[in-house]
Amino acid sequence: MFEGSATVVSSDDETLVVLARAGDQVAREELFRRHWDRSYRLAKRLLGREEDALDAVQDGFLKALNHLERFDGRCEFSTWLCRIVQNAALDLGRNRSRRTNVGLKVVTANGEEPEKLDDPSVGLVNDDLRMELDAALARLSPSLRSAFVLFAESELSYKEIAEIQGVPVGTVMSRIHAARQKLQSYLSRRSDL
Amino acid sequence: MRCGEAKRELSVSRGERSAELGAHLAHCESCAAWAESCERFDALWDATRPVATDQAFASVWNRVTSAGSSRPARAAWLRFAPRVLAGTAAIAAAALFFVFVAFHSDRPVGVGGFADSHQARPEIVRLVLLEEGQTPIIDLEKHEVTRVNSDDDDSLAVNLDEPKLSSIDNLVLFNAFEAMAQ
Repeated sequence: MFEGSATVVSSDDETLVVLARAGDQVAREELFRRHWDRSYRLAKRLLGREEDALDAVQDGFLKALNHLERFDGRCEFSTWLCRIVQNAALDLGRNRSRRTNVGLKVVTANGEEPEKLDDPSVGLVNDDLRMELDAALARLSPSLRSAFVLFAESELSYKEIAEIQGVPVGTVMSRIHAARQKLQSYLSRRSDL
Repeated sequence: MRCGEAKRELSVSRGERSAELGAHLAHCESCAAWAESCERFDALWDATRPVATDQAFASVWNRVTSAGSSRPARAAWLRFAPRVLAGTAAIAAAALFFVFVAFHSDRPVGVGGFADSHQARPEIVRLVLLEEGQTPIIDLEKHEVTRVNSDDDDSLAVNLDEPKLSSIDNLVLFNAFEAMAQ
């Protein structure tokens, strides 16, 4: 897709970062091509909506590629980029949910949230497992959702997730466990999982 | 191994299981059910893995490059903007100060400039051309020169102690007498 030179394509991320910092456009393109898919999957899992995910990936890459001098090499470039895309996605999710969901939280008489989301479109596609999974993920707190997605979708190590979230490895494992319990509990009520 | 530890290990593992966990699952129905639930969930997760299209790839890359191409110039401008603004403000302030000092230093205290008064109260100022030997008669109520006497006319009657004399009156007087012949 790109017209990158063979040298650039075969280089590791750190070399590409050095070249990109010096203004090498092919190196920038190669960094994008190499990390695009993982960044997209991360954002899509965190946000659910396709348009939001693409916006978050765009924001994340813009921040990363325009501030490459801030990458200090203490972690993998992919980890550094994951953190930026994750933050972009969470920021975007916060802003959009704040815009659309203000005053729409519904609770039952006993104070619990109803199982079905308020969005009618969710009810129309109740059999769609992907939508169910997205809805279940959306119910998690940002820290739990992010920890689980970084673990299950981005396939980062506990240590890398701990670096991204700024918490100890033990906390990461607790978050993954808690997230999985909530997800499986929610989905077991919604389907035969 | 306790059930809590077993379930936690199952939650955070990526398929690999310790021998101790395997032994626990062999005789614990609750944890075995949890392990089975985890496997079904993982299968669902894999089956719903997002797939990015080439169209999305190209779209985002175009947006990144188009936004990124204009950003460095903007960033460079922003980097120097505070200094440029501060410098401009300092020069403007200095210029205003010198204009103020130059404008006020050669004038009696309490007497405004003709231009100032003309802008503030243009309706009361009227140019009167005086020739040598002529004297203006000023109406302090109307703030205007009502008559110009010649040299042999002794009816000059300007009362500088007039209670209603204001700075603008002073201005009219000042400029009028300035125009008089020495």
